[in-house]
Amino acid sequence: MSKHSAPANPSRRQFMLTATLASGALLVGCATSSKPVATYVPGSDDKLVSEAQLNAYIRIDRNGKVYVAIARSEMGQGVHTSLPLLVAEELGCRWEDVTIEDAPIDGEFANLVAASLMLPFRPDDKGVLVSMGRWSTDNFARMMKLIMTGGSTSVRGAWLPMRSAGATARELMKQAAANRWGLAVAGLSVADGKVVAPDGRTLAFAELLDDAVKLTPPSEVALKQPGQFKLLGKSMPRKDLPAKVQGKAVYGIDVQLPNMLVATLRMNPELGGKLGSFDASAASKAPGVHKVLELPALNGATAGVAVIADSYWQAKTAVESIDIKWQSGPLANIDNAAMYAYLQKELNESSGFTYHSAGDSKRDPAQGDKVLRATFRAPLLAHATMEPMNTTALVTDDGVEVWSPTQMQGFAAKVAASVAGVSSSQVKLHTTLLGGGFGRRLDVDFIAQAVFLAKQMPGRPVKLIWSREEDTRHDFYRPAAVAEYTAHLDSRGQLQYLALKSASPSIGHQQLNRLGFPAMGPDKTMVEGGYDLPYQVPNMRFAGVNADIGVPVGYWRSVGHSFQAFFLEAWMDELAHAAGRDSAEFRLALLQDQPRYRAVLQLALDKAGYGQPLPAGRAHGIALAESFGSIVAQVAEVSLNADKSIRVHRVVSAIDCGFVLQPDTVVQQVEGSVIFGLSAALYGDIEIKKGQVQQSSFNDYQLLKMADTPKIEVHLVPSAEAPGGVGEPGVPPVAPAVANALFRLTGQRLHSLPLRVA
Amino acid sequence: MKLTINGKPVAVRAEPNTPLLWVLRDELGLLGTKFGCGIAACGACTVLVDGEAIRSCVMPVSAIEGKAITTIEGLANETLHPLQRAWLQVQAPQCGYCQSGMLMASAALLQKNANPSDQDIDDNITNICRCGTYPRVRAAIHLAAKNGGGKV
Repeated sequence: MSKHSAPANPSRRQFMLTATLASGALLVGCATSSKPVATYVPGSDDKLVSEAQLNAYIRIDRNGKVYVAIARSEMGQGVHTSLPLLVAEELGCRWEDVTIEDAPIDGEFANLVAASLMLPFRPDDKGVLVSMGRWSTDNFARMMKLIMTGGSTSVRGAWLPMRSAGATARELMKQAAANRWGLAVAGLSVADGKVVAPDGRTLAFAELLDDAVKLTPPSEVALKQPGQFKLLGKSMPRKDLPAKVQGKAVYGIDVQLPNMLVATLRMNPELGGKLGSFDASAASKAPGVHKVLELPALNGATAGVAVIADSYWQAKTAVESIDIKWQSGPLANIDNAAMYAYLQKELNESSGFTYHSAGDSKRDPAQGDKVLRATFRAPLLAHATMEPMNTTALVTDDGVEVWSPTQMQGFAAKVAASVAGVSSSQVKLHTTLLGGGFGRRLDVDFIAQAVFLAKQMPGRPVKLIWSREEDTRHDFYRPAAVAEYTAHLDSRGQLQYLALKSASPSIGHQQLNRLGFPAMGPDKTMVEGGYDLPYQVPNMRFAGVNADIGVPVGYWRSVGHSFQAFFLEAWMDELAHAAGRDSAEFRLALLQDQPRYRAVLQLALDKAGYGQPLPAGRAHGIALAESFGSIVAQVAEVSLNADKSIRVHRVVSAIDCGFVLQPDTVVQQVEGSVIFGLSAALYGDIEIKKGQVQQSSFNDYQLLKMADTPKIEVHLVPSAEAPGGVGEPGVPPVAPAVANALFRLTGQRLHSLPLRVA
Repeated sequence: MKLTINGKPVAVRAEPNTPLLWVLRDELGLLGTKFGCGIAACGACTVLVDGEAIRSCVMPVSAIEGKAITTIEGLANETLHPLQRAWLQVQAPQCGYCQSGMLMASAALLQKNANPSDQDIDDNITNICRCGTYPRVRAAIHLAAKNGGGKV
């Protein structure tokens, strides 16, 4: 894990590389502006000491091995394959020669696309405001070192920079070979890690390193066209899987270090509650126990007690034995009913922020119009990653070293420095594999706790592992929401007006507060999946009310889309029915100028056999949603069991995610998204009583299992457009597709999640 | 206490009521077996005890003294187990965290039933995967069965 890590905090101009590199290697960097730049300084004697810009992605050693710096977390979505593939494609090396390594914490690796997701623009918004917005979020992201994995951004963000990095290195190799042979660059080509001359002579990259580092890299390079790709578009086997089928993959929980101790904790079961007193005397004397400690409320975590011991089971047994007196906090009187009542009250009393409007945004119904209204509701949801929260930290006189399954490297390092009381330059962060992320690991509470505990044991690594119960009860939940849709249908069944007002807490504000920043202003994640709809309606208004009662909320796979797409797509179905029109025809008619959406919906309908007879007792439901740059349509085939529980037999998805790097990975992600979405649609419901989450583990927070899983088909729309995201866009349409099928089966319009047939 | 793990005798010092999972992980350094829930609800910790799939997070180590334990580290011999090969062929894992348990539960199934039906798979593979690899796990079990995975 750490073997190939670049220094965590190299200075901008002095990028001294590790031993491997100092003995002769080549660094190529490229600016995220897609104009590659690199500098090299040859060293004394025959060794080369490299100096390059910090956005260096590529290192090549004398054996021809290519090391690609990765600044995104592998949490199952395949970035440890798709990102280096971008480099290898343009570089022209052998795929088996590519190895990945942690990128340093530097603004050059900031996630600019994720930062841009804060901007309240719709997919079709263009122009100067969008450019200015992007300029400011780009700068913000670089300045804050917003290195993170989320928002289905990894491939979208890497598409140009990492290909440019590969292409720059390729051009240097060609120039070096051209000089050696006395030939023109134009006639040379690259294949399998070698430069090839027109007469068939070859020079391996490894033989050209010394020459290449003396060259000035090109200021601009030509990237391949999709038709020229040799690796992209082919479904290369994922590099992370052989270790994963042999039990050899190293997740955060698997970090093993000499002299390491293991800790676990109990937090006040009441969210945000306080620690009163506790009696540590017996636990302190329990076998293997080193320390029993009060754990303060760090970065959004609830206060609690931790035990540090030789092993997890000793720590766990000891912490369970402690008699703890908890004290109530601000959420002591909050339960689900109070939370929904508060959301409803805020919805009624506030006009909210208007995220999008068109035509007469406060239209009065015309004579003969049908006026329709409905109130929708979505519950709190847990992330329930299979790997519970954990992090390992080592505090020494030199600083702090952290091994963490994090999605949030930049802030993880900042928080580690702050808790350890050292400067950022004294933090070394290693990202392990993640046993699921889904947004939970964008928060850094468990990292702060691990560093806090390690600080009490200087010189000894401490691995903090949460129990499943703590993980379930102390999540940052997908927000609950209450929303009202209004619509006017004219006498010809045409949709004349569509208005949404939705109340939910701002995740962005809460998370900024947890990281120590003030927060204000609109947060489009409250209404995304609604205000950015593709349908052409003459008069529209989409408003969001920030209503935060204090229950901790966080980013959850597909964020606002996870509930807004349910509200909108269930509502569109209802409108189609009220207009006496077919669900698909009604939507297609509102997508006259949206050929990509039409094509995706049509493909899903065709593949599912929409409109054709189904076995008795089954019905189709459809939904369409764009999120994170990709469009997904789904057709669900559903029946009802005798006990009125819901059986989903088949889900057909069509996705347009632009150019597809790894077709099989896209299929994998959509398959997984359908299952993730079904767990939420059918079961997901976190309940709070007296400020305490009532669910605790997989026995009472139910997730889909093999036997509940429908037949899932995924169809890709061929495209040469720039890639869209694929980790999340398959989630939003699932719930409405199932709900719409249930209406056809039962006549009941279900406006709340999870779906329950009366 | 003496155990036989992946064919090798080992001595362990842990307290007798320590779950096998934590003996494997913290004392023996066999980290392929995962902690998911601690209440036998998810199956991430599945290992074989005398060929039966058990959830090691709730199995006191004292209860399996003298029995043959196989963990994910012992599933392959010289070459990968047919299930592991099938897993790679269909590219089953995503995050991969639950996959050791899925593989061990599937190995136990194939030992008893060399050609399981979909219904057999539904009944026996009750492990939880949050990434949603179920369709590929099912396909991989069928593929391994076709390739003689039950005979190993």
